[in-house]
Parts: sequence; C-alpha cells; structure tokens
Amino acid sequence: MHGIVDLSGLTVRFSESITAVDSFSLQLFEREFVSIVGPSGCGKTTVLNVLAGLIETYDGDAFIDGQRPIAGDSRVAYMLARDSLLPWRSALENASYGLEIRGIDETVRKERAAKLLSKVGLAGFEDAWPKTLSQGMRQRVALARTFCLESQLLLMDEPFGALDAQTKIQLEDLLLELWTTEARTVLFVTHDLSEAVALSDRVIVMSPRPGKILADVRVDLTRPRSVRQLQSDPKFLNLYGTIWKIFEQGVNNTAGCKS
Amino acid sequence: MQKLSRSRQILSHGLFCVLFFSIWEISHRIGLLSPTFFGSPIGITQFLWEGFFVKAILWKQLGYTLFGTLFSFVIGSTLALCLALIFFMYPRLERASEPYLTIFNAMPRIALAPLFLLWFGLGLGSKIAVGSSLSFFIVLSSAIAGMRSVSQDHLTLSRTLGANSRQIFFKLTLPTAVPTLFSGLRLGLIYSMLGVIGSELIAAEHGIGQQLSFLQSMFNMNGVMGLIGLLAAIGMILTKSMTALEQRLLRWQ
Repeated sequence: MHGIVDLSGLTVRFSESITAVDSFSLQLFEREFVSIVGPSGCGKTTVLNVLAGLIETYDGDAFIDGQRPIAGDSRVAYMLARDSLLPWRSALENASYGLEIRGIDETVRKERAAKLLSKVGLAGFEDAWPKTLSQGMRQRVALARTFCLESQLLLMDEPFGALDAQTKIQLEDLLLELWTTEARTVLFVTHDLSEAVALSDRVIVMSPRPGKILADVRVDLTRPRSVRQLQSDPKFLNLYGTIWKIFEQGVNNTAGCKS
Repeated sequence: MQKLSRSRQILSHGLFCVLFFSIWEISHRIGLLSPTFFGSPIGITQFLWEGFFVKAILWKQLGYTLFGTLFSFVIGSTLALCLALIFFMYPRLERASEPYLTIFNAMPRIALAPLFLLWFGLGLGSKIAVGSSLSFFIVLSSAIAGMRSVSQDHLTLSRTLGANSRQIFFKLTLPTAVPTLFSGLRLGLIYSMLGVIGSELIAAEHGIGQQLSFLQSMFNMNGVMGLIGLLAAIGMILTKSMTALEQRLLRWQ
C-alpha cells in the first residue's frame, strides 16, 4: 500500500563533501499532518524541495501518490518561509496567483480566492496592496493562496517562522482549522518544536547535517486542538519534553564532528 | 495645514525668484554685470517674446529639437528593450556581449557626433543617431538590471506552481523590472535631449542647439540665456510627465 508521500532511502548530495539528506525514509497517509523538526541546515527544506520537484538529482526513491515528483504538479502546493507575495498584485490577485498560473478561468479563480480570503479573516481586504498589510496578514494571504490550489498535499516550509509569538499562534490555529475543513495532507517543516507538537499527528526529528531521522513520534493529543490552550496542557508539555530530549541528544552526538 | 504650507512654499519660491531677477536686472542697469556675458532678465524676456510671438522663428527651431529628442528616445529605447528581451531569452549572448557593451557604455558617446555628422549629414539623421546612442545604453542597462532583480522566492513559488517561461516573463520578470526600467526611461529621455542638443551645437541646420551656437558667436547673451532657460524648462516638463506616468503605473509602490 502506498501513501500520499513515499520516501525511501532518500539521499541528496550538493557536492562530493556535502550530503544534505542521508537515507531519509518517510511515509505520509491521506489527511495526515506530519512535521519535520531539526536544527537549521539539517536538510528539512531539501526534503520538501525534492517533493516539490525542485531537486531532481537524488538517490533513493521519492513518490507522490505513486508518481515521481515534478515541479508544477497540481496535486502539490508549496508554501515558503517568507510570504513571497507579489507586491504589484492586490491581496485577491495574490491569492489567485497559483490558479492563474495553472490556467483556471478568471471568474472561478476570483470567486475561490475571495472565499479563501474571507476564510483566513481577510474579507474586505481583497483590493489591498501587500505593502499595506501587516506581516501576519501577508502570511494569511499566502495561506489563502496555498489552500486556493485545492491540492492534495501541502508542503510548508516554516511558514510562520518570521512572525511574533501571538500572531504565530493565531495563524497556527487558522491552519488547523483550514486543514480540518479542507481535508489535506500536510508535510510541515519547522525548527520550532512546540509548533510541531501542537499541529501534528507525527513529529519527525532530524539530526544535524547530514540529516537523518532520529525519531518518528506519534502525537496522540485529541483533535480539534487549540494551539493557545495546548501551551498549558500537561500532556502536551510532556510530549514536548520527550521530543526535546531526542532533539538535544541528536545535536550533542553530532556536535563533535560538525564540518 | 498642508495646504497652507504648500501655498507658503510657492509664495517663498516666487519671492526668491522676484528678488533674484530684480537684483540681476538692477546690477545690469547700474553696470555691475557686463551685458556681453550675462544679459538681463528683461532683455531675455524680450528675446523669447519676439522669438516666439513676434517673429515666431523659434517655434520651428524648437520643433526640430523636440522632434529629434522624441525620435531619438523612441528609437534608442525600443532598440534597447528589444535587445534586453533577446538577452533575457539567451543569457549566454548577454554574457558574451558584456565586454563590448561595457566599452561602448564607458565611451563618452557625444564624441561620436562628428562621425555621425559625416555619416548622416547636417539634418535630423545625425542628431537622432547621437540622441539614440545615448538613450539606448541607459535604457538597456536599466532593463537588464531590472530583469535581474527578480526575487528568488517568487521564482521558486512560480516554478512549483508550474509556470512556463512565458508566464515567468509576463507575470514576474516584467512587473519586477518596471520600476527600474522607468527610472532608466526617464533618464533616457533627458539623455536623448542632451544628445540632440550636443549634436546641434557641433553642427546642424536647425534646432535650439544650433541657434545657441549661432547666438553665442554673435555675443547675443540675452538669446543664449533665454534658450538655456527654455531648455531647462523643457527638460523639467519631460521629467515631470514621465514621473506622472510612472506614478500611475506603479500605484502599488
């Protein structure tokens, strides 16, 4: 049985001496929310780039729903760390950018983008230029753009990394809400352990470069969750502690042989 | 509050100009300023009035210069944009031609004027050649710089969305390049005028530059000063209208 994502023995080398990802194996099933955490430079983003079809030379196997990843696959939506809104487009035009590239009819894409903008709490801001929006609002537009694509698999690369703590929690809750209603499979990359535990069904812990999987921890917190309330939930804190230990050990073990 | 300070600004500028020209005129009258080198504000006004409204000979000269400027600008910037587009499609060609472009760009191209005069004669041809050669490089380098400034994030995003190179060009490269391109076009327009005037000063049958050169040889300082003022005013109008167009196109900035 294959999953939405099947990675087995994935190894990516940038050069002779730099191995970004080392024998990485991971399976994601439909509607699962899986996070990859690890120190910066451990190859988390590289895994996403392989799945997005941006990296084409690697060893091992990578499949999305049984097929090799290619850039532009309509089953995949990629959300970057920075909002990367196009400054010359209004919020609505930004939200519908992906659909426009994929050749969706204008009335359909406008309607869908407007619906998603209101879902992310930006009704009334359709015509706003990105520079007039706050960081949090811009990232909401980026969320709308990602969900607008109605892709099966969402690849998210630290989408909330640049936000302040409060805004971050608000957007995490928003993401969970969208994930529940829109029913997607998410592979979420972050270096924020607390974020990973709060959002995910499973947390994959990676070692520093070359990135290997240290642990695959199931998060058995009940859903629906509220990220804000989880912050003081003992079960959450317990899990956080466990994963933190694995994370720390991994960093310490490899600290001596860092290039 | 804003309005008041704006009108106050205009008032103080007006006051300054009145004062400046009065002192100039008075100095001229009492013999402090030599009429051979400075002319006088009233003399300049008389010259321009006669030139435009009594003898009406300046219209034709101005027409030659303006036509030459606009034509140079259109030719220079169109060629530059076409070449920039070709470079975008074939980046290797851009790299290969870079040393030649650098040499041409570094050369003070007004020095080409004597050559162009031989090739194209005293008419419009040679001044358009000089003007376009000046605006061409400015527009070209700004177009290239603008197209290079496309954000890596925007590119990555568009590639994962499956954008083809046509879409990348029209939806990313072009809009990214527009602000830089516009400042290049604005400069290009001014440089077209510079080229045309420069070429007319060296040798021409018609044009404001040719008139300047002629009046200077006659020691008609009122005429020289008047035409210089006229050129400054035209330059400002050209720049202002480009800026207005730019602001309309770049509302998102």
